[in-house]
Amino acid sequence: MTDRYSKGLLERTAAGDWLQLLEGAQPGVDIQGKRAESEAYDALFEEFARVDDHIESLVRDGEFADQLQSVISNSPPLTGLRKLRRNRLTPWGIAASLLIGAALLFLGQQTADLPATSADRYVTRTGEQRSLALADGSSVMMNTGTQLLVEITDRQRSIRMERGEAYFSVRGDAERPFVVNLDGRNLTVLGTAFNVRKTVDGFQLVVMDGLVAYHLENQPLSSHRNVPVAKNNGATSISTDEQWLVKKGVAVEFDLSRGLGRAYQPENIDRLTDWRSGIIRFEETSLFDVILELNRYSAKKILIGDQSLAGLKVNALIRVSDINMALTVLSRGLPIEVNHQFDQILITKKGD
Amino acid sequence: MDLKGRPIENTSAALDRLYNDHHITLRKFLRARLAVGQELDDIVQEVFAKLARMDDLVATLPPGEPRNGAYLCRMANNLVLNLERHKKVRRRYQEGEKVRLEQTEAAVVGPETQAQSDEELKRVGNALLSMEPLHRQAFYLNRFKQKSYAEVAASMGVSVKKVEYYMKQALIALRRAMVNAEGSEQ
Repeated sequence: MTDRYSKGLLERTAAGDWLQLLEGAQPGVDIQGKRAESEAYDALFEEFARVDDHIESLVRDGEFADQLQSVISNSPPLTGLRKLRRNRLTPWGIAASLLIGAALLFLGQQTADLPATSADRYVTRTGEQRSLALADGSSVMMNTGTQLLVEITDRQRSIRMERGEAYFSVRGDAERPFVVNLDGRNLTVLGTAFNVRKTVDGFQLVVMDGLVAYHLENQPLSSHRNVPVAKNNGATSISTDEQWLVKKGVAVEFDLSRGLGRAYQPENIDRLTDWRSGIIRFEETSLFDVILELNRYSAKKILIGDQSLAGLKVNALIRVSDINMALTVLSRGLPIEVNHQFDQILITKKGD
Repeated sequence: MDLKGRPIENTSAALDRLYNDHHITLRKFLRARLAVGQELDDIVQEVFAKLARMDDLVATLPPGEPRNGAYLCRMANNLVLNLERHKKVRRRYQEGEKVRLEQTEAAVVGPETQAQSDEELKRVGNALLSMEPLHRQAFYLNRFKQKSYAEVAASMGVSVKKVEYYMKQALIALRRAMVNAEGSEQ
């Protein structure tokens, strides 16, 4: 019937238009015209818009995505079998298709785009920041001078932190704990957001959301002991050889050389992960500590030439992507001079 | 550094970048999507307000990533759908009626309640799981794995035109399942 025919054509047209619209390949005005002219087209278009929105919800639904991936990888191979199904099968045909089907199954499953199984190394240079979207839906933000070895498979999610600092936003997955390994220690999480920064003596862990378990790398998780935190802005000491659960709002500095961890609840915990915005805030920080921090982002080493300057208090917002500008800003507010030399930057007293 | 080696930006620079790269695609999309007379700029504004509030903006929409355009359009689509849903409810109350569960005789029929919307979602999900494998494969790679049509074509060993065809067929099957139409089984 002509009705059904034109409805089919309209359906294909509307579908095609929708897809092209998202690629930016359709002048929107034409579609607006079509919608005004035809109620049927208009209704179809609205429906495709709704389908697309439902798909978006499903894409964000980790469980569904996993289920779909599983269905796809467990289906028979795509090519060959499909063509055979279309033909009218004679007795000979059936035998032939079974044989070919079996042969294809031997060749292996055609799989969907499964994540890589070998480890990948990611590196940021001094002053560089970079964000990674991992195959499991988690994301990692890498700070200056960071080196990570990432391995995400069907059975595990592990990251070895070789250098630097990173902020992890981990997607919950009961079947696959997410493990960050560094200095012979494991930080095991199910789903959570936290920051890890390697220091000279060990590393600093700041948990922004969820729960992170700290344990020696060859030790299975057995304890559920929370890190003790002092009530009133104080810090508590813990042993770095034991297992600990670190919860949201807690920061721990693990000094592995001394075997001691310092745990506390920072008042402005966001400060510790502010680096992600590319802007660091210093509030009543000594110039010594400011320069110590800026040196992480500066390819050229910054030195304080005059010891009397070290104690100057700094209040500033610094963009880490431009250290030179940062130093200029500092020199405006403080009695200092910034001297760019061949292989270093020297901070001297103004007027010297 | 972003995908092309450019320095990573903070939120406001990232927003500027997104606007410059994609606001034309977004406007083209909205001109088609919205009814005549509806304010285009309001939605554009709302999309960027939402982006500004995102926690992991740069990670989700890396600077220079061509797929960002489609992402923004989908955000806008979602906003438009929510607006329509609210308008329907508001109109009901204005007319002094209690919210009814039955569909109205309006030309464009959409889910009136969350329950109906959930029903649609379930139908779409099931249709995806049981879809014709070739169509499903292309659709999965494009939407769930964020592969471009060219990447899908390479992965499946077919032409881009074929991929476009698969995507269209997939969408058609999904729509039919969603509205529970006859012949939604392929």
